[in-house]
Amino acid sequence: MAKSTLQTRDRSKMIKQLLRNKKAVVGAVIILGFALGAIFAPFITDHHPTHQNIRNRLQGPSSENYLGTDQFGRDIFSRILHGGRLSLRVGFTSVGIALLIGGTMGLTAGYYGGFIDNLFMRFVDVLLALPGFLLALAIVASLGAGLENVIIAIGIANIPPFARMMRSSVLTVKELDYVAASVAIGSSDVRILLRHVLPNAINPIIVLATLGLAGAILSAAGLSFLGMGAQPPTPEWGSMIAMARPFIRVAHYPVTFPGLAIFFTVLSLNMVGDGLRDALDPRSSHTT
Amino acid sequence: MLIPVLIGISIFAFLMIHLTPGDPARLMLGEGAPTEQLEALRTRMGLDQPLPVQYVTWLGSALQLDFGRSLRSNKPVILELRERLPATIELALAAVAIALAIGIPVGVISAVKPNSIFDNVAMVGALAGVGMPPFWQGIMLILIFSVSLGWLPSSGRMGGVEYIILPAITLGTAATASVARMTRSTMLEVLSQDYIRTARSKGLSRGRVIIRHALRNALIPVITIVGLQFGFLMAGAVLTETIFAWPGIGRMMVEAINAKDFPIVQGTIMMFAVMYAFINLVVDIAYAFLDPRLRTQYN
Repeated sequence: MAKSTLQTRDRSKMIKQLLRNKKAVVGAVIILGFALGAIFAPFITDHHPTHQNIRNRLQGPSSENYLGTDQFGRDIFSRILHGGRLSLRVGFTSVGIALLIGGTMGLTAGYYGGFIDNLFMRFVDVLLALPGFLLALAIVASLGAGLENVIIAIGIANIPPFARMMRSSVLTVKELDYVAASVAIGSSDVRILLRHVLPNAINPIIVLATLGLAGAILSAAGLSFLGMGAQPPTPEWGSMIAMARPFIRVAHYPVTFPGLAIFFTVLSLNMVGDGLRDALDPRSSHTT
Repeated sequence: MLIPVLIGISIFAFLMIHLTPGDPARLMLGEGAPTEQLEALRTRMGLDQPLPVQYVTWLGSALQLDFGRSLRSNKPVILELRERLPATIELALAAVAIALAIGIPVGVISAVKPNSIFDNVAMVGALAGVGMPPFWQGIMLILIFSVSLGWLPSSGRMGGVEYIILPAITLGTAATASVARMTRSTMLEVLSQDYIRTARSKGLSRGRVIIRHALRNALIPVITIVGLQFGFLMAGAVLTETIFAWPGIGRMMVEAINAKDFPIVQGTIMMFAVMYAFINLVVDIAYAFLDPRLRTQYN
């Protein structure tokens, strides 16, 4: 009981500290805006994201098309809102995959040690032999283009940080007296991992997941830009930029606005991630 | 440590062809290819052998830098790599030069005047630099400096310095941001140390203490970041080279993936992995050399 009240007190203190961090609050507001825009996209705009109107192509912003129209006369505002759905979906599912696989690997590797530890960590080393984006690109190259494969590829490429973080958290906690006590009263391994080890590792994981979300959205947009991700006419930010690029001398809006959407999403997620890190790790708050 | 990792990535590079759904020979030649041609390609690439045999044969030649021949140009992969590699290295070095030339001074000034206007603007800028999609930034730079102002060429690598400026800025932005952030945080840590106060109290000027005492020590972790950034630079090179039609191995990899030219894809992946491993090794050695505490261990 005492432990749980201590935790809630820590948590509310942490949230207070987070709210005092202007950067984190601004980031959270922007992200919330994008998320709401994505969720309620059909209610916000009447324009269908893939409805073409060639006669009205490459127009600048107007009261009808808030952000102008693209090379097929499609409404850019509507496409960006709907594209937000894809970006958030790709981000959350790929980070979810990385968290689930990497987290489980780190948890078991750290707790059991020995052969499993060696096996999992060597696997992680191999994943780290290529920089994340290149690894994701190579995986998509072998699985074939498509949004599902992009999610899998980015998920796999993001396994290493989660596995390593979880493993080192486990190694720290494992030696503590209350874990030994829990072993002594006969708790099962699963109970110890879930009740004692996991709660202690959760803070750094939250920070990692937030920053990972930003990276995943950026990578997914990059892969789609290269033609490996969402295929036209799907409204995906990276692919919108790639498709509108040949028309840039006529109209830059179809390139500029999706890029700004990626930029602000990634920037605000990074701001929230930085703020969380400062709030969760008091040691780093005065340096970064 | 290095060798098992490279073996692991080589297995992956080798398996790429087989992970792809469908018959590799048919994928490469197209749907309508006649059976004799398919058979010929299978024999040529050894696709009729069992997988482990294929892998050992492939690895054996790869160790002798023989990755087979490009399916499009029919030139040996290693020759194509050798042709394209200098462009990528040139671009990466230019990007690192920008990152160091801008990132370190900005980080130092931010750390010396923490929470000043300069510091706040610089750190928001650094965060923005990390979040900037390089492919979009590249297009925006082309739009401004090539299309509107006409100052710089929008693509290619014709030899002149003007060709590398935009690609290097695009590729170097994220690295500059990371170097600035890292320099700031290590400088802040070093500046709070006792020996800095000692140096100041024995009458040395503020500038001298910052440059001679603080910066030298603060730069050691920055080296690790620069090493790490080389990895991100290689990844960024794929996008940057594609936008600026820069003839490096990043663009070569994308073209090969689109054309299903698997020997080239495998070759570029192995090339990137070896370069990455080599850079990490150099960073480790540089670290040991620069940190006096580690240096005495080795002497």
